[in-house]
Amino acid sequence: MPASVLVVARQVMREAWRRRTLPVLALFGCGIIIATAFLSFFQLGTEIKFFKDVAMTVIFLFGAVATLVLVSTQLSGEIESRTIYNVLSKPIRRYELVLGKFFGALAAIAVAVAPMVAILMFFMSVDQGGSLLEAVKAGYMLWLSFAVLSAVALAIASFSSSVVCAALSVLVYVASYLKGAVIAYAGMVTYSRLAAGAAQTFYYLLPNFENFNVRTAVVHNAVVPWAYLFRTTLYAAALSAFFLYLGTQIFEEREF
Amino acid sequence: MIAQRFARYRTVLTALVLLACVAGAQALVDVYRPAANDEAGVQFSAAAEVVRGFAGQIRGLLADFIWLRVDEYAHRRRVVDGDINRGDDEALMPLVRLITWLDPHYVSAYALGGQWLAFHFGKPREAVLFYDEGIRNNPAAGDLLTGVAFVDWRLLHDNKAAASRVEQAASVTNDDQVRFQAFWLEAHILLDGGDRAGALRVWRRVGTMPGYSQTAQHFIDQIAHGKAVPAAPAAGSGTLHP
Repeated sequence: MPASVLVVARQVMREAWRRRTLPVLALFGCGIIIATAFLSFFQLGTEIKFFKDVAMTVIFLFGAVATLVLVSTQLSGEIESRTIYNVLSKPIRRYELVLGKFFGALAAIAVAVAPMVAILMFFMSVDQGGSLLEAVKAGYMLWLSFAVLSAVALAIASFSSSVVCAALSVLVYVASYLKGAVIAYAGMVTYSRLAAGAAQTFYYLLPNFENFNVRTAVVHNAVVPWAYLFRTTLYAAALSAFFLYLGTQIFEEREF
Repeated sequence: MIAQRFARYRTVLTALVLLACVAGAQALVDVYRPAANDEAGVQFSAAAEVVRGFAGQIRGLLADFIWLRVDEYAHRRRVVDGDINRGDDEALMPLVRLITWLDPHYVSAYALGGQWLAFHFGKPREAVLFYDEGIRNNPAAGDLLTGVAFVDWRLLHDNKAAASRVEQAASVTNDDQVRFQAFWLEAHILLDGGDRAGALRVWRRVGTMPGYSQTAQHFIDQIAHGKAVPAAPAAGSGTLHP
């Protein structure tokens, strides 16, 4: 990896902590998870399920918000504040800048999400609430989904403002979850092979964030196979590579 | 010349290759998806897909919060026309349905919904269908098997089906207490159907379970003295309120 990418990545991390958004989100997330651990209004036997559900959702929500806040203000933020002129006047290529932003965001998000996963694991071990390894796997899968979301957001940020970038990224995320419903409806309303083919194409080409959802395994004490983890990592890498490539190509063409 | 021409299409070609990689990786993931998340193998209706799609990754938490509401409804008993069993039943079933869409492994929701359909709405056949859906999604849920057995026995008077469901409930668990409860119910169902030999056979099996020999002997003695036979429900009626 070129040194300039590492320099940019380090800068992104430093800025993420300087802005306080990420630490505050992480603190809030940790606070909610800890508070949930002491709620005992749920009926006997399901407290641990409820706790795991809340913790997984909090990690996901706060992680996703942190990703969007961090990534959407990277490229477009630099363009809006005109600091991009200074950056591009340095001996750095545009694709290196995009890659640096991506890897920096991934590292910053990992640091923000890790304490929440650690708290989940701590209370799981105290309450004997299932395998800690599965919790780590679930945390890793969530981080992979944030990586893909970062790549999507960076691709959008290469041609839009930070607000538009955040809004469009959320839209892509929601669309990825709704495509299951669209395919189900397509199967119900038409028997056309063309429609079925189009639905299948949609399924394979649009991002599928459901791949990273292993909440069931953690909550219902199932095991996520290592092969699934490996394949999902491949999927995240391919999807991130596609969106980063799109982003860099658009960014290369932009004139400042 | 060729290189220049190629350069023009390089971006599109690379993007297409990367898209092909995405599709290939998705196909690879699909192979293992049911192993990582058995919800992937559950057949949902289109309406359920929409609800699940909008809920996204927070569907588990949503199901939990709706369950809190269901729990409140179920326990907030009030006397309606002199009947304490008629609480907020109408409000409860749609919520139960939503929970099972959001989390098809919510065994408690299936158990409560089945019981409500059978004993509060007087729809035992719909209850059996609902229980069956729950059992399909949670094959190891003994609670659902004993629940549907109870409906088969007391409301549909199908003792044979009921006994076979309870037998299945006893076989899906390693927990002796749960197995004992299943056998206890099976013995009563068999006795109710006049199958004393079958009931004795069940109690002898209970007797082989560690710690249950005295209990089993007690029931065997009771049967020998013509006791331990549950009261038969009145003809044409079932136990409406368990």
